[in-house]
Parts: sequence; C-alpha cells; structure tokens
Amino acid sequence: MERRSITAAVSSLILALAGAFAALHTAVPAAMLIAAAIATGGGAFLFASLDARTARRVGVQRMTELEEHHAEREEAARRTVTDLRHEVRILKDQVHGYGETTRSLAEAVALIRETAPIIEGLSRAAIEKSERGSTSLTDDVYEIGRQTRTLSESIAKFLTELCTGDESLENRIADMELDLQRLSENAAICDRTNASLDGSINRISRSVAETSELLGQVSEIAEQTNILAINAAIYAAKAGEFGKGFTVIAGEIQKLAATAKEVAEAIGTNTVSIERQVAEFSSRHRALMADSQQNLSRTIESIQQTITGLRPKMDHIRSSIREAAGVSDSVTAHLSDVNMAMQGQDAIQQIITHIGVIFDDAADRVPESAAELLREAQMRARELAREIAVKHFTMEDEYVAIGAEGYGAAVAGRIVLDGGEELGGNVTLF
Amino acid sequence: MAQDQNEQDDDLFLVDDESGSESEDKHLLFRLGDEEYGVPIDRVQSIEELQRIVAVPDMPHYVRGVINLRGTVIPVVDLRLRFGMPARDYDDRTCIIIIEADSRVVGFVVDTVSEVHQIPAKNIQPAPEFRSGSGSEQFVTGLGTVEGEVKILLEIDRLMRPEEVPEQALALGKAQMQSAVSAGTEA
Repeated sequence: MERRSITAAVSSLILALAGAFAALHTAVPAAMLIAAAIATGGGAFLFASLDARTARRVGVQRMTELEEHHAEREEAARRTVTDLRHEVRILKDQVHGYGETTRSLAEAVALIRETAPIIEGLSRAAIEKSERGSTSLTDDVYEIGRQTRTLSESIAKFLTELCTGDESLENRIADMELDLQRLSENAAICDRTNASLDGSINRISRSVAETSELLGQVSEIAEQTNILAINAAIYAAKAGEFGKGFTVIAGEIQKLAATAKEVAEAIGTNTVSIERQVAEFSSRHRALMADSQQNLSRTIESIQQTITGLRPKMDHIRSSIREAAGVSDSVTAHLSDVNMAMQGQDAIQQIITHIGVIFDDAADRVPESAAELLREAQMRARELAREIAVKHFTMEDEYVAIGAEGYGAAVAGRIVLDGGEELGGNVTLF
Repeated sequence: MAQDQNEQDDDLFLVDDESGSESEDKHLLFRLGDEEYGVPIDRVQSIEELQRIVAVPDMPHYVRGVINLRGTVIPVVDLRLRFGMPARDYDDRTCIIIIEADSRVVGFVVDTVSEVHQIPAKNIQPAPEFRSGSGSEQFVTGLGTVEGEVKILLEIDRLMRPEEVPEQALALGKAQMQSAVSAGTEA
C-alpha cells in the first residue's frame, strides 16, 4: 500500500513537474517528465497487477524491515523532493537561459543568413573591383614605368650623343677651338697683309715724292725758260726794229714756259691729290684694319669665353647623364617593388576569397551549430532527469517495485557485458 | 675790233708790233710777298737766276754783297729788306733783276719774276700822296692795272743812287772780282 502510494506520489510529483514545465512552455522537459510519470504510473499498474501473487511472498519477508525503514525513507523522500524541487528550479532557470540563448542564437542566425548574401556579394564586388583596379593600376604603373624608363634612356642617349659622337658638343667645341686657331691665323695673315699694304702705300708715297721732285725740276726748267723768255723779250725790246722777229720767238718761248709751268702745276696738283688720297686711303685702311683687328680680337675673346663657359656645362651634362641613368635604374627598382606589391595584393585577394568561402561555410554551418546547441540542451536535461532517477531509484528497487525476478542474473550479465558497475544507471527505462 | 684784237695779241704775245716808243709801256712784272711790282723794261738789262753772292762788309743791311755777272761785278740789293719787309729764304724761284742806269749796274733780289707785260699809260695812275721820306713810298711812280689787278710801278733809278748803294761797295767788289778773274785768266 505504502509503496504504491509512494509510487503514486512520485508519479504525481513528476506529473506536477511536467505541469510546471508545461507552464514554462518548455515542451521537451515536460514531455520527458510526462513520460516518466506515465512510466511510473505504468509501474504502479504493474505493481497492482502483480500485487496479488507477489505481495504475500515478498511482503512477508521484508514487511518488518520495510516498516523500520519506512519513516527513514519517507524522510529521505521528503528531502529528495526538496532537493528535486531545488534542482527543478535550477533546471528551470537553465532551461529558461537556454531558451533565451537559443532565441538570440536563432535571431543571430537569421541575421547572419540575411546578411551573408549581401556580404558575399559585397565582398565579391569588392574583390572584382580590386582585381579590376589593381589590374588597370598595374598596367598604368607599368606603362608609366616603361615610359619613364624610355624617357630617361632617351635623355641619357641624347646627352651621351651630346657628349660623344661626331656631332657632339665636345667635338663642336674642339671645332670651335680649331676655328679660333684659324681665326687667329687669319688675324696674323691680316696683319701681314696690312704690313704689305703699308709697304705698298709707303712705296706709292715715295713714288709720289719722287714725282714731286721731278715736277720740281720741271718747274725749275719752266722757271728758267720763263726767265729766258723774259730776257729774250727784254733784248728784243731793246733791239727795236731788228729785234721784232726775236720778240715773237721770245713770246712763243714764254708761252711755252707758261704752258710747261701750268702742266707742271697740274701734274703737281694731281700728284698732291694722289698723295692726299693715298694718305687718306692709308689712314682709312689703318683705321679699318684697327677696327677689324679689334673686332677680331673681341670675337676671339668672346669665343674663348664661350668655350670656357661651355666646359662646366659639359661636366654638368655628364653628371646629368649619370643622374638619368640613376633614375632609370631607380625606376626599374621601383617597378620591381610595384610588381611585388601587386603580387602581395593578389595574395590578399586570394585570402579575402578564402575568407569569403569560410564565411559562406560558416553561414551554412551556423544553423547546425544552433541545432547542436539545442540537442546539447536536450541532452543536458535528459541527463539531469536520468541523474535524479539514478540517484534516488535503484534497479533493484524497480525490480522490487515491479516484483520482477532475475535481478541478480541481470546484474551479473550486465556486469559481464558492460564491465562497469557505474553503468548501471544507464540501463533504465529512459 | 681789230685794234682790240691786236692789243690783246700784244698783251699776250708780249710783242711790240708798233714803233719802238711803245717799248716804254712795257714793264717787267715781279713779285715781292703778296704784291706784284713793275719796272720799265728799258731799265732792265737782264734777269739772272740766283747765284752765289759775295758778302761785302760795312754795307747797309739790304746790300747783300756782289755777284760776278759774266765778268762784271755788280752789287746786289735785297728789295724785301730795302722795303722793310720780313726776310725770306731764297729758293729756286728767287731771281736777280739786273738794272742799268746812269752807267751803273745794280742787281735786285726779288721773290720771283712773273712776265713782261705792256701797261699803256692810260692804265697807269699816279701814286697817291704819301708822307715824304717814309719807307718805300718815295720809290713808287704809279699804280698800273693789268687784267684788273693793280701793279705797283717803281721809280727804279732812285734805288740805284749812291746813297742807296755805296760806291765803295762797288769798287771793293770790283777789285775782288777782278783779282779773281785775272787770277783765273792767268791760270
């Protein structure tokens, strides 16, 4: 009777617990407890059906013992119920916590599911853009690098040509120096020509002087002739009638003398004019030559200055060539750097792709994880229930309760089979 | 017309076609400095080129000395100096005009002789009144015009007077020259 009432009490307790779980909207533990109650109830009915045959045989042997322990057991049951209530409360809290977690997890999963395609699309677009961008950037950078290198090479080539080669600046300077030398030689020739011209002018002057001298003699002759004529005229005048013919001759001679004098004077005038012109020409020529020489020396000086000025420029150009070559090398080096950076970017892109894949995978896996969590929660609840059952009810009790025989054989077989007494709890009705 | 032509011809050719009286009109023109002077040609014995003048001491400064003209010793007067004009170096145009007057012969050094030219009496104007006794004015007889140019005509006889050219100069010169000539003859 007491056993039945205890079983009924336990069954009703479990039912009450189930009710409590049901009230908490936690179906699984409630179901579990309902099942437990049904099982317990079933056990009670089994006991009831077996009562008639076994109660007398077993009850007589153990009645006294049972009665002795009854109060103790009742007390323990009461304590157990209290503990159970406590456990149930904890379990309720835990289940509640699981519920919250599960709900937030489900929300998170839903969010992740909704967000995942967007993120995936975005990342794909980003990757594509990045790839496209980096490809065009790479091309651009390579193009710029190529052009820069070509430019610097052509500059270097131009400058090198400027410095060396047939048409180079250096050769031109050398040519200029050669020209300068020739110019100096020309100046010397000019000097010599000038000297020879001076000599010619001097000779002309001497000739003119000689001519003047001769003219002086001619003038003298004319003068003498004139005097002769005058004397003749005087004598003729004194001769009177007889001197008439002589007077004519004297007159002719005087005319001749006058003509000779005029001619001599004309020649003298011409000679003087020639002399003057020669002198003028000579002085003009001298001035011109002096000017020319001055210009020439100025030109030579200017060319020399130009050459002197060009020398440092040549050095500068040489250093520029070196710099251009350096720039070319540097561009090449930078291109290598850029190439490496591009490769790095490719690697990053691959990593991003991988991350995307992983993310997709993770997104796919998230619901599974959530289910796992649920399953874990169920398992945990089941374990708790089993723990309670294992703690407070032994197999023997159950066997006793149902009046079944063969417990020891079953235990021996189980031990033989499983090899561990602790596993006893596992073989329950649950 | 023909007469004019003749006169021109006469002027040019220095020919005296007419009677000998016209020889009085003929003048020997010579130059001293910037001016041209004239002397009647009948006073002129000849024109001589400059030759060595032998200096004679104690003479007026214008008497430069004597020359030996073909064996005749004649005193020489520098007209520039005589007329108070600045002295001038002699050159190849310098001439000596030999004048004969009153059986005396004197040479006059002039810058140069120009020509013999006829100056008709109508072209001769009397000399203006000068203060007497001063310089060369006392020797001027008149001013003759030849082809628009004025020639100063000189009273050459006055320049030959003994007070102008002392006799002793002539005598001394003569003595010197004659001894030289005789010595030359003997040689």
